[in-house]
Amino acid sequence: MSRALGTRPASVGAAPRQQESPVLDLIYIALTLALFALVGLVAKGVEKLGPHARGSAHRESTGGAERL
Amino acid sequence: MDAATIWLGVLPVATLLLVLALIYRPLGDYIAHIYTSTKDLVVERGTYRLIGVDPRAEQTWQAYLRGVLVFSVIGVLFVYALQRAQAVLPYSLGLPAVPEGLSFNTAVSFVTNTNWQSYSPELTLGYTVQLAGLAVQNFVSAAVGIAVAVALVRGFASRRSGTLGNFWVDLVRGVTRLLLPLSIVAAIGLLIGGVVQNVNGFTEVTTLTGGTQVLPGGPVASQEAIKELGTNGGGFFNANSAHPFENPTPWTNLFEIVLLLAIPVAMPRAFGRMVGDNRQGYAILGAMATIAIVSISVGSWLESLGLGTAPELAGSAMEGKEQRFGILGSTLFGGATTLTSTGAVNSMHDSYTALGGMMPMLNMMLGEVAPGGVGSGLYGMLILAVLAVFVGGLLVGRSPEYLGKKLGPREIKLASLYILVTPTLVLLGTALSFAIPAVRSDVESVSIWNPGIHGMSEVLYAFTSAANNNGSAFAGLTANTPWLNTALGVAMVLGRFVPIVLVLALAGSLARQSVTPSTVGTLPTHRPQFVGLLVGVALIVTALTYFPVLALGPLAEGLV
Repeated sequence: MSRALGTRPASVGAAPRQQESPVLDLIYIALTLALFALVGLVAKGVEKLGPHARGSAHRESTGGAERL
Repeated sequence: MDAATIWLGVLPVATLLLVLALIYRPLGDYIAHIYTSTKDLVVERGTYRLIGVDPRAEQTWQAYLRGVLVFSVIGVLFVYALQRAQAVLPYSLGLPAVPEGLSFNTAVSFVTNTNWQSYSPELTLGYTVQLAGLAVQNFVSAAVGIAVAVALVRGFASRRSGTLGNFWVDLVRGVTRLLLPLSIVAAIGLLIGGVVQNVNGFTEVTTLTGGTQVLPGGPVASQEAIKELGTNGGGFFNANSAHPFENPTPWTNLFEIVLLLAIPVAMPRAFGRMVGDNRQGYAILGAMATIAIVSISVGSWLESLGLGTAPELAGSAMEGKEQRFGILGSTLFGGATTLTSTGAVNSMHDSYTALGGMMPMLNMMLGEVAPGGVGSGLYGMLILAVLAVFVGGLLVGRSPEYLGKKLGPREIKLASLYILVTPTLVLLGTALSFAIPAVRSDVESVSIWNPGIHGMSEVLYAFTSAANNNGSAFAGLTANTPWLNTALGVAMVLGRFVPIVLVLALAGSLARQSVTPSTVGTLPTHRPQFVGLLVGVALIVTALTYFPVLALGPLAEGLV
């Protein structure tokens, strides 16, 4: 017997609905942004890695040349 | 084992090797063509216009990295929001919003190509989240990995350009020209093999004994194709590829193994083509194949021995394995999925014998470089190649050069930092789980179902899987807790993107150099000796890093 799409039978267990908390949402979003910011900071540190640290390369247009 | 069992094991392996050998050149050449072509497809031009990208603009490594990070952080936030809004989304099968910690873990997991799942998909996620969130990430996270690998290859191949191509172009091409077409073909193959594809939701059926059972359906074949091709591994069902709707027969089992190995195996060919020396591709492939064949052989042998009280009483180590796959069909899949970054499972690694269960863990600890994830396997092995050249140079007194690029202090520092990132995350995460009293209490009372040495192995496996972006699990661990959802999420983000920073920085550094002609003083990197050196470096680095913790976990369990 097929059930209509979009329904979950009561017999199928699922985790009980938990108390919604916007604070936790904010914490996890902030954690996400902080982690990526940390990765960005690592990149900044890597730029300065010596003793033969080199600056950023000049942007050059290849004019559609082979991308190698 | 009798002769028939061995033959049944040999036949799939021989078929697998033959198929991979046949696709190595054409697929590798095609991948190289994708990323060196100067022509854009109509759909690609439309996409570039839509997102405001000039496809001809070359990027420095910093700009390339910015693209990777911006694209990925948006992906995490979008998948997080989708899960939190699930209750009001259509086609959600009546399922509620996903809790915050689990949403974070899942969003991070799929964006980092890990696909660690702290939940039962069929009981937690409706079709909208599965398709619009997770399936999309299955494509784009794989494309990001390939793009980073291609950027590193361009670093080796370029001559003082200082640029690595364009991230957005590489991302779009990876999806439109490689992953999407192959996924369509693969999905049709899986459908023919009996994998289900529907939108029926849940179906109540009457069993043979007269009872009722609720069977989940879903668009499984289409998800399964990219799950394997993109070395993602996140199952549509909780049992993953052990579920008969995802992987019904030994034939589909072999087909799925081919799918998850196809692109990683072909990447060395693309590398060889792009640097203009196919022999370099064969050398990298040789190192990958050596490690893979030895690992899978040892793992299969250990499981076939059936050591341990329960397997010896039962007559074989079949606990946690599907009858239709047997021991060899399970260990072949288990080896392939952990040697790549796939993490799909067709057997429960937690139920393997102590030493047999160590092998999937060891595969991940090797850095998943044999052949590794799509893209990540190649760039991981190239980093090891840089270190091998450096070590070889020290041994014989030759200047360290690889593919005509000098490996100075900066390059070696970047490569060295790369191999430290994931071990640090693995060991720190495992240690913190037991060192902080409140966390330890939670982990021991809630997460670990097998206390003692095996419980420690379960936590070690979880952090090894997360930090290496594999996604497979020792199934006995309950990971849907605030600590593990958050800590594993952090390990996944840092384990994915910090190495990418170092790879792109190395690529940028190499791209600024001109190519030095090889001389008699140059270490040849296309010969068997170098393959041996590369394998040796990979094994020694892993052994030195992880032996102590393995001695506390699976080695202690297996040898006591």
